[in-house]
Amino acid sequence: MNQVAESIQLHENDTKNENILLQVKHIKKHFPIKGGLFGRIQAHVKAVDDISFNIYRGETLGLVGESGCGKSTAGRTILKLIEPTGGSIHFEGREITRLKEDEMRPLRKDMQLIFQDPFSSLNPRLSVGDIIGRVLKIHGMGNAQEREDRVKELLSLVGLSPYHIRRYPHEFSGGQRQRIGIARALALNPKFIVLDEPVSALDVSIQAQIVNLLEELQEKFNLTYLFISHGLNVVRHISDRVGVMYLGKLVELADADTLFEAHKHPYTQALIAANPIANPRLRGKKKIILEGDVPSPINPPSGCRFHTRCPYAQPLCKEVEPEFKDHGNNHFAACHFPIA
Amino acid sequence: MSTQAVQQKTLIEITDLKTYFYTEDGVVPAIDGVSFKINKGETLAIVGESGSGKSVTSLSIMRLVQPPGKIINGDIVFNGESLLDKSDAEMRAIRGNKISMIFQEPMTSLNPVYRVGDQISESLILHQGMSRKEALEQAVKLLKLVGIPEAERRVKQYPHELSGGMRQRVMIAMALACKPELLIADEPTTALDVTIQNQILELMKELKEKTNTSILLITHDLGVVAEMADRVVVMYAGQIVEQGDVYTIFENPKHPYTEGLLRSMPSYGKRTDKLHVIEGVVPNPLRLPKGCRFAPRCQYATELCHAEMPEITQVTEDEVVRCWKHTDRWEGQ
Repeated sequence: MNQVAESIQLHENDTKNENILLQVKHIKKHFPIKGGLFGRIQAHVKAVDDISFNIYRGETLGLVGESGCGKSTAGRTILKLIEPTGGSIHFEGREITRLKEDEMRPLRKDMQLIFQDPFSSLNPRLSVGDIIGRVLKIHGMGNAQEREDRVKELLSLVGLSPYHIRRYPHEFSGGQRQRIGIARALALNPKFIVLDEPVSALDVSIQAQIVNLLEELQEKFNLTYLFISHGLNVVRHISDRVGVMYLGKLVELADADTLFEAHKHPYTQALIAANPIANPRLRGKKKIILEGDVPSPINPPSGCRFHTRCPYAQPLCKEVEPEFKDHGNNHFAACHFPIA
Repeated sequence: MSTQAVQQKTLIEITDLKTYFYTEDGVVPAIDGVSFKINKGETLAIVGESGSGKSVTSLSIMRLVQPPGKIINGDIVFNGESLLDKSDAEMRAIRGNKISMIFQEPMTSLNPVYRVGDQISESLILHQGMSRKEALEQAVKLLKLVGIPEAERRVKQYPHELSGGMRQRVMIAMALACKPELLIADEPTTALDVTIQNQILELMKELKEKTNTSILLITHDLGVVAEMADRVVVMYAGQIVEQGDVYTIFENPKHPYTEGLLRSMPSYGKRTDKLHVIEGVVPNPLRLPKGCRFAPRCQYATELCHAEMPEITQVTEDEVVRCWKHTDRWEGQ
């Protein structure tokens, strides 16, 4: 519980704050591992372990971290596609944590998800018109003709042509498929979209097209994004604020420029230093090589979870878990010895 | 750089290589007249997007192109001998020995039912005639060399017991087992996280310094290229569009495609409003444009570009480009 501290208390009354679209408090997701003869629960994977943050209307919050840090699980838990183990989620001031599936359904219009892999997230047996039209049908929008018109409108909106409506996913390139995924997410006029590695599977020149499209759409429809990615350059470009996750914990959260230029957490520092810069004159400069791999989330290290790989770790880091607290100007970090 | 200055001997030279795939739908010119060379101790990076032919280039060098693919033209000369003249048995003696390869996906390129140590020793037993015991001892040394802790325990483990970064280290240990003269690394870090990628790249640089191995690095990540390469080849739709030393490519790119690629990356410094975009998509390899293959997406394209394919032009001693802009016939902007 110590992660909460004063920072969150500051926001405790914010549930009614109009600028906050989504508020996440102490959210946890532990996956049980079953084994043995009777399939008893042996341990838990603490994929997301007590994280708290707000997402403000119209902003893009970037979420970065390495594989297994829990960033995708966090995104899905917020959308209640996975039931949280603990904590609370407020959407537009309303607590949605314990809502049942049928109570969630009307809210699903407002919250959408765009996936990484445009190859496996589209049903190959359905035409584009059916893939997008189905979303409208499930939510009881219009008659067949109106739905078709809406699908055509959506296709033009994402830079495809209305005549693509009869085509099947295999007829499209990776970038075009991602546009179909975006059109599907936009179909119900959502307020909030979780983008889970939306450009990671695409070539560089196509990435730029999709990133620009996402920015255009955000402006046009006043969308709020949670942009999950391991690609630091893209996150920096698109995000207003950025959160860094390590082993199920949020270790740092700040506005994008501060996070990249004046970070407080040694993990953030190492992650940014490891990111190769496309300038051959800067090669080999100021690299911080982290030793070893990320520890197992089943049995995470005591105290600060990063202490096993941290170049600045002190005895205290092993004993006591650092608070995730505000270091001024809404720059949150969980470190006993933050970088000055 | 220093190694390059000392050693300027050519290790491998590829001349006018053409590898075509004869599919039911038609002929796909996956590599269409590619020429480059790699000096001893040098790292050459091939950059390109999906379908540019960069991976087929490496498979062609290894003579691992499967039907319906076929090398139909050109030559690959390694240490003064043509690889295209070699018999299958002679090629087997070269692969994994003189030339070895690291693949992108370490999980699928390791055999899940053999212990890591046995997989590393295989090439030592085969190529160097070691006994199994000697080879296993050497495998432990190699695992230590690539920075795997508790190497004695790890050699007895199976690939599924290792993390992604460790598997990639095992792949590198395997590739280095016989001290190859050329190491082909096909997207060696694409499946890895940045902090692990960083470890692997540093390891490759360190090994290159120690052993003077030449590296052919195939990647789509320009950050990795900037970090590793001495020289860069940029490929588009089966052809080389530009080739030069790493500083020229990044600071003074000549081909509009190279220029576009560099500009479309989100810049690491200031946040810009819009990313530069190369409009359109890579052409269908069955219906390639008649003129320059990049012309349909090129902002500078003129009638000449759409009508005729530009030849490779030598711009400076070490730099070539395939673009009408850099020829006498250019009349556009």
